[in-house]
Amino acid sequence: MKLDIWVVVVVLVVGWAAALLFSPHVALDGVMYSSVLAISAAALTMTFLTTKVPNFAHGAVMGVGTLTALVLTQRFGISPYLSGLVALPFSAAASVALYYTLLPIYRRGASPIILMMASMAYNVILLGVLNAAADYFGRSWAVFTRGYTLKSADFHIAYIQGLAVAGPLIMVAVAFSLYLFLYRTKLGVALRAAVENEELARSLGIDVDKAFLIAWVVAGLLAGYSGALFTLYFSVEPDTGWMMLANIFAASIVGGLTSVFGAILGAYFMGFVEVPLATWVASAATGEPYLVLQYRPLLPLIAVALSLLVLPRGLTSLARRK
Amino acid sequence: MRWISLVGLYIYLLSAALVALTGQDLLSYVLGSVVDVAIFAVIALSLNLEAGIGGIPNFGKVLTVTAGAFVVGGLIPRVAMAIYGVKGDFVYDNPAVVSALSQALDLWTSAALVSAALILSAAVGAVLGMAMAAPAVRLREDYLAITLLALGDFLFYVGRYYEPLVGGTLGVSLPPLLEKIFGGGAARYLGASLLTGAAALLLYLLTERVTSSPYGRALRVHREDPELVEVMGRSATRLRLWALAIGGALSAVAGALYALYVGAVFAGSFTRITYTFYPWLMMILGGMGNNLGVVNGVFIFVTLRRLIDIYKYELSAVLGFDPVWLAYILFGAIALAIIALRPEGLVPEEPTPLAKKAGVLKSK
Repeated sequence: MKLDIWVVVVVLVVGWAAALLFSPHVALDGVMYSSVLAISAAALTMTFLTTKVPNFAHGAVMGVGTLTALVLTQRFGISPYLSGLVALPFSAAASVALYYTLLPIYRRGASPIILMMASMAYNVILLGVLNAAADYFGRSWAVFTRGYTLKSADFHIAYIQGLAVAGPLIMVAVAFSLYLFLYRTKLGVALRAAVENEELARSLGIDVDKAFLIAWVVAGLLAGYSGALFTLYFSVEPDTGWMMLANIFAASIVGGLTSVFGAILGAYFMGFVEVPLATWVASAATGEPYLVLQYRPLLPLIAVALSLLVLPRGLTSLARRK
Repeated sequence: MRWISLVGLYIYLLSAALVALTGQDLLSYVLGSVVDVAIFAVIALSLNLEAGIGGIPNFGKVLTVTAGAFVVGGLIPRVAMAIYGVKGDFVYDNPAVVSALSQALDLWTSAALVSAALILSAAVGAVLGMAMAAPAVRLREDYLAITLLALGDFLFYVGRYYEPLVGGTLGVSLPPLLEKIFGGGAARYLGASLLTGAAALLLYLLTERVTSSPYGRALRVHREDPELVEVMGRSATRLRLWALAIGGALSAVAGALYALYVGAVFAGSFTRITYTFYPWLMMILGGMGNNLGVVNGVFIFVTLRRLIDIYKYELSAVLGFDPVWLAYILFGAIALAIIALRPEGLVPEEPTPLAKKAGVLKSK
């Protein structure tokens, strides 16, 4: 029997609904996590589609958003949702700078290993710059830049934290805009064509470099905003995005690394596994679930390996081709 | 031998001169850098065997380094406790157990324990390396890189949260094995530098031997095209398995030596940046595929790191931030410049004998 993607989607929806019904606190926690993860994983997938190489600096680009939100919200008392917007030009610039770093190396036909190393070197530079900036702002503006969360700056609806509502809404807005961009604009269609077959797209007169540049700008915007939103979820540092790289890769890979919408599905899948499901299993298996739950960071690591070995093209490969 | 083949050493000697001229403690600079060079050289050489020569993108190098350190931090002290019948829990009564062991340990038992630590860590590293070869059978190199990157963090998290292993976030202190062998104070540091330096030299010669053997040549062919290896009648799967096993064993020994030198194990210090990314950047800086080149990359990297460390007060007064981030920026920038401008590295890999012969024929 072949597993259809809709079966997975239905099971996932039922799972989330059951979680919201039976343990709403845990479920809302998972919703917040998955929504931010979805935005980040969509961005990572976007960069992967263009250069076909995993972008190890993705987490550091998220860090631009994280640090900006931390600093501006504490210093000027503005909402993290707003300070995240201020971060966007910076994270987009960091992403574009990476694109222009990789482009000449990509053009000369370097092996994927060399391209990965280039993104790795860029990652180290960006982490250095972010942490230096964190030290600098921490001292001169007297703000916390490490091990701090902006949860208290979030709004609340009754007892529900704002991100649990705003997160999915932002995610839907992002997904809808991405759909409009990729399927309803000329540039988006050109980008999809360039991703599908670069040479063919070029011969049709599509400016592939420009299309890819736009993809990296969009990826930078999404990465930066997801990094800013993470300040509302838990204690963060400039390195948080980098530390969570495996979680983001897990979501993208489960989604198949071939579509930004697959990545969003993958994020809600991984979020479900990592938060409600892990909590249930841990509570059922032991009397002290919190002791077991600290090992949660291992789940994405296992998911990456399992997913690539069992279902290398991700959940989206289950969709029936008609 | 061209001058560039030892460029890292020259840069290091210049830095030592600078340290001496500015009135800093030259001896501690040299001893500390010998250990750093030795440990990173072994890690980078193991990576060069796997990635530079074999073409296997091992982005999970930190895993086997951590394994070696955990053998020293989690296993060896417990063996010592069993030998001397020391009661108590090594992690939760750490100070008491360490002090009881330091009373009991003698020279020969310490030497035996250190040797056992190195042998065991090599074995554990080899097994883990083989396990890492499993996904390599089926995955394309970019997917393999992601998988190994993810799996690389496994022991980092286990060590951090599973306290009985190496004390979780608090870490553990080790019994004074090196002190018992070399004596306390400065003698310990001199001895530790000699031990790690000698081990690194030995492992360098071993790696040279492996890479110039028929196996090493087959590995180079594998890098260019895995199917070509099969045509030669060798199994590509087995070739990868051995490369990752040898690489795993080497890097685990480096992790063990590092833990012995520090005299303590903190799981939190075994990060991807230090033990995966840095060795990768050192390798590309020196020259992928060339063992001597890689060691040059290590020298340059360690020089930079040690110089920034030794002048950190002066630097932080000027910079306004922790100079460790300057090391990140500089090292990333140097590596990126090399990738962009001189992708073969400072000391490029020499052409294979086959290509050399072809060149000779052509010139005639």
